Amino acid sequence: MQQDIKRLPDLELAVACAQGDRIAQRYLFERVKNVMFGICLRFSDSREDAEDLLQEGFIRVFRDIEKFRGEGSLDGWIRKVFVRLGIEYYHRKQGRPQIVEIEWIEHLIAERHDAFDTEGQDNAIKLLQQLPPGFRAVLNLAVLEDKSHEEIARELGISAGTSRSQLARAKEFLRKILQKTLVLI
Amino acid sequence: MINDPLQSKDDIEQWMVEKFGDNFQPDAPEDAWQKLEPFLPAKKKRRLLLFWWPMLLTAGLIVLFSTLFSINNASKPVTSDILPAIETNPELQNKYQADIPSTFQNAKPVVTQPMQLAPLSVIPKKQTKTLNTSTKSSEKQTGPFMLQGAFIPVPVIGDNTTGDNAFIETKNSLAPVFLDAVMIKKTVLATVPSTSPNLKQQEQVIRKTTARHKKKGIFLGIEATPFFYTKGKTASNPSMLAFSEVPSQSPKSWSAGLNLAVEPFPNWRFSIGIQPFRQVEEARHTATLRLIDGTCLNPNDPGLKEYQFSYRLISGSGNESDLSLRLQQQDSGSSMPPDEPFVLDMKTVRRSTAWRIPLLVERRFGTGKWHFLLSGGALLELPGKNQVEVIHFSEACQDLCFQSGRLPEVKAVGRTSTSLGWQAGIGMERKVLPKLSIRVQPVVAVQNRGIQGGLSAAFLFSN
Repeated sequence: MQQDIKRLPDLELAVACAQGDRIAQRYLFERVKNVMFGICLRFSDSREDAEDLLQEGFIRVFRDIEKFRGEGSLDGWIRKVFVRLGIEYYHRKQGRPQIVEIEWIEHLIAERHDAFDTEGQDNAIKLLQQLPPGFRAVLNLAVLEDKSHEEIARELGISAGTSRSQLARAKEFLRKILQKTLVLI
Repeated sequence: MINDPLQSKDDIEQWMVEKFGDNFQPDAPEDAWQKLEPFLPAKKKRRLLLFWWPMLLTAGLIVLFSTLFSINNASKPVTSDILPAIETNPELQNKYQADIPSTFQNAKPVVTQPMQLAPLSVIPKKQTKTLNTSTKSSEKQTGPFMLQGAFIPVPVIGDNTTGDNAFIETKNSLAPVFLDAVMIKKTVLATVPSTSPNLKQQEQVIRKTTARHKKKGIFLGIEATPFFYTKGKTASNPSMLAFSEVPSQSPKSWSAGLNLAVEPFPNWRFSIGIQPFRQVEEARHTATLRLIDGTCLNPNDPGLKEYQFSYRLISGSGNESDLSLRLQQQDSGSSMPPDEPFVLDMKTVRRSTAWRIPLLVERRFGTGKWHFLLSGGALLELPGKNQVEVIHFSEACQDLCFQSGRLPEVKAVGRTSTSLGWQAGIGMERKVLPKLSIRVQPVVAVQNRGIQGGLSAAFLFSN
């Protein structure tokens, strides 16, 4: 049975999951869980929030998987669900998008730079989680999800010009943090 | 220790891709599945194939119309309630015995052998007899009668062709008819013992009786339905790029095939058919695309870039197709930004086929040659081919062109799926020969992709 599940095309696997086949659902979960957990970590403030997002995301995936029509890969479709969830998490946490002005950056760096855990394997993710949520969201969408500023503007409820300026400031902010922690990463 | 990632403005992006790109797959919590499983929906039961609500609605409409427009007068039960009363009433019994011989003493026998009927041609349609059916000689009744060679007089239906046919058709089961006719006769005398029997009442009752003893009908039909109206449903929130077509002219569609019907109860038919369905549509669409909507097929090629675009095409009749086309960069020095829109105009011809299986219930009204009918039921559609041909296109834009020869390489794959809808119709049927009828009815067919209206014509052969 496990061998048969592995050979199923994406559309048939999705149909099996939609029909409540637990074996198919478990297989799909195991196949993509780490990638999706990575997305959750990138968008969230903490590992605990990321774990909650992971569970919420898969509930949504298996609830809506019957809408998968076979265009593109199933993994790509699931990724979109989780990115959407990440954006909703950002809105929930922040309400209105937080526009960080350049003069706040120094203050934030001074406040946060000594909070980095210099040991362990996930220094980079912790660094990302230290960013203001608005910066983190714009960086995730523009750099890692390849969205245009128009799309980011629609998703975050800001203008395309604001998206461009926030991306530039997010990079500047991250650059300054990396400069302070360069020897540790 | 990594190289200093901060040498250029893109270094932050490079750092992010390096750290959080496709290889970023941290271990999910070990108990993630255990926490998730209780929240997953339970295994779904197979959905019943039938759409109950359209069938219930159709059945309800048929019952409603049959109640409102029924032309079969309800008549009092003529056998079970009254006959025992007659048989337990000695006075009525005696009267019956006395009346019968005098009633028919002037009637000439049409048949001479027991349990035989003369051919229809022998029985004059307008034959009448003057009968004295009561003790009062002044009262007379008219109507054709046939005296069977046995001892039981059998009144028959008079000048009605259908009635004659009905009677002849029941000759194989004549005994029950005789008995019913006897009971009817008794009943009539019982209800109106001192007056003449009402022959019109007898006719109607006998017609009902013979109808009960008629053989159950089986009908084979050849049917054709051109559709004159087609309207498709708008696709809701397609998950991919999609454009709607504008019809250049009304789609041409039709279906034709066979259907088989049975009539287990009087005036109720149940039928199943098999009909190939054809549709031809000519339409135009305008696709607004950007380079970022497509896929670069040769990103590492330093020469001219080639892009492939895929999008969903939705026709006015609700048919969907996946269309892909390839465009080539015109000049390697092109400065076209990836998000600059360009427009393509195209004209397509779509040819689709399907198999339709109607499962219908029909309620018929009327007697004689003409019948009014209501029909409705499920319509199962099995997909066939769905071919799309691009017959006209515009230039892409200044920076892009189609493949060599300046022709678009276009592939269109029709999206087809099995669907279950419903069909309803109101029409008329006329019997032209004893076993042949012609039926015409406007029909409405509703499927997932839209609604169609047409006019159905059929020849029906009965057993």
